[in-house]
Amino acid sequence: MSAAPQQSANQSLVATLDRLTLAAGQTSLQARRLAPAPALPSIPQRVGSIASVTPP
Amino acid sequence: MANETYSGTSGSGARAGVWAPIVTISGADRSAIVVGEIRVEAEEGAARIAELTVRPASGSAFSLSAWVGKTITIQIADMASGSAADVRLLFSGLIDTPTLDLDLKTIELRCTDNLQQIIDALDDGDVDTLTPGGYHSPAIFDPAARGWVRLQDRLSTLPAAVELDVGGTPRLTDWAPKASPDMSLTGAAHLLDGSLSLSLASRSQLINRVDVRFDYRFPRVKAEQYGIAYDYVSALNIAQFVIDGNRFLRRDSVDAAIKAAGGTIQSITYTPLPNTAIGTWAPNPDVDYLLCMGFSAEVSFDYAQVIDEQHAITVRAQNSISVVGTLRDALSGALEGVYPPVPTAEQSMLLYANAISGIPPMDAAVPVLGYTTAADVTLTTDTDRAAADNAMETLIAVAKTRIWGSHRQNLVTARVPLNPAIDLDQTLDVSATGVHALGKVFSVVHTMAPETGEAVTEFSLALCSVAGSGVTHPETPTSAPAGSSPASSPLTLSPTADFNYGPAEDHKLTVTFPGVEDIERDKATISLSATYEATLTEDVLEITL
Repeated sequence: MSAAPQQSANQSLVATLDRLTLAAGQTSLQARRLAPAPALPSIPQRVGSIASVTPP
Repeated sequence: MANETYSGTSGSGARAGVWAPIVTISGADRSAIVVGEIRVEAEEGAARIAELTVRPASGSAFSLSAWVGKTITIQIADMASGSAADVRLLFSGLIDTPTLDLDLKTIELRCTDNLQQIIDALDDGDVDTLTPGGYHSPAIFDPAARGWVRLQDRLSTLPAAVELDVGGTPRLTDWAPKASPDMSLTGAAHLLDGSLSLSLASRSQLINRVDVRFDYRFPRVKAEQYGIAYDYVSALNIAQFVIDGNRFLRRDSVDAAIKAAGGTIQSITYTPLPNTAIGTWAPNPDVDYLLCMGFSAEVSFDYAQVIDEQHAITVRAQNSISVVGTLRDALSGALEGVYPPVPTAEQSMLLYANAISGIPPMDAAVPVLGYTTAADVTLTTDTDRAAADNAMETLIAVAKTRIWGSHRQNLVTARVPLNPAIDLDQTLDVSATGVHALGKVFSVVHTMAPETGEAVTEFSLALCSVAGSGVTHPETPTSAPAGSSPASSPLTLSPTADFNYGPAEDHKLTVTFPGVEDIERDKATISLSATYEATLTEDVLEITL
């Protein structure tokens, strides 16, 4: 009966052992690609127009 | 080299070996309850594992807590003198899994040296210290990876392996053999009869070319500077200009029109009205300084462009390709520079340039009259050029390591009377009929069977061999290929100005600057290529049939 609470910890150790023997060499390297870049708006002719108010 | 044999198993002189295992659990000698075979197994990059069986005293109560996680050591001793001598440690670790056999009333113990948990307890600095010369890039590997995974990441960039030594201390061992072998084993003197075997790598296991693609995207700020000159009246016709009822142009209207076009005035001069009477026209000092007959200005505009660098990097072992043909693998990575959105950056440049905001933009290109110029921007440290270079160097190092690793899959395996000195950090020279091999130990298994008296070490050497012993494979240093640089280009179009000065017109000044050419504005894709030679060390593997 007293062994029951320890079971989960032991199972964890068993899993650890499996990882110990199998996980060597497995890296977190992942192939990555960029998402398509949103197009910037084009910059058309730039026009400035101001009334030059002077007395006649 | 005095470690070729262990006196406990090989004997000394004419004396046969006499040995005994010593097993301690939680510090207490439990050798007496061990039954059957004891096996200790170590392999490159993995935990050292031990398996043994114990039979506790009849009637003993069993509880998991008495076994799981308890420390255990396994030693071998030379018992020729009747007492333990030359005691050597074969294993130290923890009991991981007890398995009960209720019929035989035995407990099989599976033990580990706890490699992964010990490495998991290391911080990043410890892992990096353990793997000098290794690469790591958060753009290539999981930046959150810690401990064991980080170690695997760094080891994938190094021709080396990490395990715990028999005492439980992490240790890095190069794949390349030492200049002098730790021991030389010959068939007649050391190897067990018929124990030598070979396992040669197949061609399909080899990799001698890795195509690396790396995309790097970032914005670049640009500036273009135009010269604009405009005169609508001169001293020659100013008298008639006035008689006709035309209006003069206000200087502040010129400034306002340019700013309304989004331009920044770098410099401007106005053509002043004459200071002497001309015909019917007479100067008016109170207002003439506010007016002009024309102007000449240098006006700049700021904007940004997105750059996509596409690096095609070939990493290859040319001498291997020459022998076995091309065997490819591929890697890819990408990084995007972190910067405020381009429209935000452009607005910041405009507001500051026109003194609307006192907050300077993060970056701006230096304008040059008649040219479009460009400048790199200030990206975050984990996405800037140095980060991109590090990412590419990491991929190149991974590629080099893959190439080398694929070529060391030839195994020479042999057995000797148990020799505790044979371990994964050793370089062995093995000579037997028809075979001469020299390389690093890849795996070792110590087996002790007290009931039969057999104590054997089986080891394998991982041998890199493709073009033959003595053939060198040149290496290109692992430094990132050059990226693109900001460039300037001449402006091809010119601005215009027009002032409606007629008495019945609207008296508007209109300035028009050309639009930005698509090639300067649209995302620029820049293809770059580079080739790197990957080295590998040819181990000695000579076979005579």
